[in-house]
Amino acid sequence: MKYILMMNGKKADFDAYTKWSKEDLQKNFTFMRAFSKELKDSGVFVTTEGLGFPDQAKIVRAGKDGLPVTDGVFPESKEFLAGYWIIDVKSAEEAYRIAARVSAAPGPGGAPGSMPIEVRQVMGGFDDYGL
Amino acid sequence: MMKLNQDLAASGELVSAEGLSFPDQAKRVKAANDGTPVTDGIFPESKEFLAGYWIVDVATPQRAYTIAARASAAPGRGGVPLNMWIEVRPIMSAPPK
Repeated sequence: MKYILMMNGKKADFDAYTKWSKEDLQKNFTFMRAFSKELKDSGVFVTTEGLGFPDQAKIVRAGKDGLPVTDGVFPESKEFLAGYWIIDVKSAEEAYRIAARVSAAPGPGGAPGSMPIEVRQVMGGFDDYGL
Repeated sequence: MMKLNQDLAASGELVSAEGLSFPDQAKRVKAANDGTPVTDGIFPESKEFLAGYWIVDVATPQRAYTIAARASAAPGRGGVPLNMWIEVRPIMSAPPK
């Protein structure tokens, strides 16, 4: 079963992140690289991506003529996806254990960040929706 | 949606696409002090859940917006275009400097 582990944050969280010291960022990156390698070595890794910051986000919809209508204004309360991993594991519990590992990634001062990770199953295809 | 995926695959722009399970299956997980997972399934009513996504590799943001508009116009109830909002952002190739 494939699960997605998502790091979400509000714009204020992203702003705070840009103020981390270089040492703190390096510790965090080192952890993230080791974490991805560990997922690969254990055979559960599917993919991972980091996204552009909220100031680069646009929201797009089709106008009546089908052409894109773009807007860059979001409510302050909006959570933005910062990045994610997709893993292929045998159980939800295994996904939660792996999510807890990344939750403990070092934050400012090197202490475990304890950030919440949203975990959901990735659907295999239309069959999984009963279609 | 399948037609959109086929078109993006044919043009060589499709990197990946996934659909996610519904919010009732979502959990928030964090590490307790001993590193073990603490799970919680309570989210604020206002929370937006990711339903699915496409990653596309395109020459310009405008091309990404055009593709997003196609997905936005996917048929909804009664075949009427949903015109739903699609969030579009660049994917980073490496951690930010």
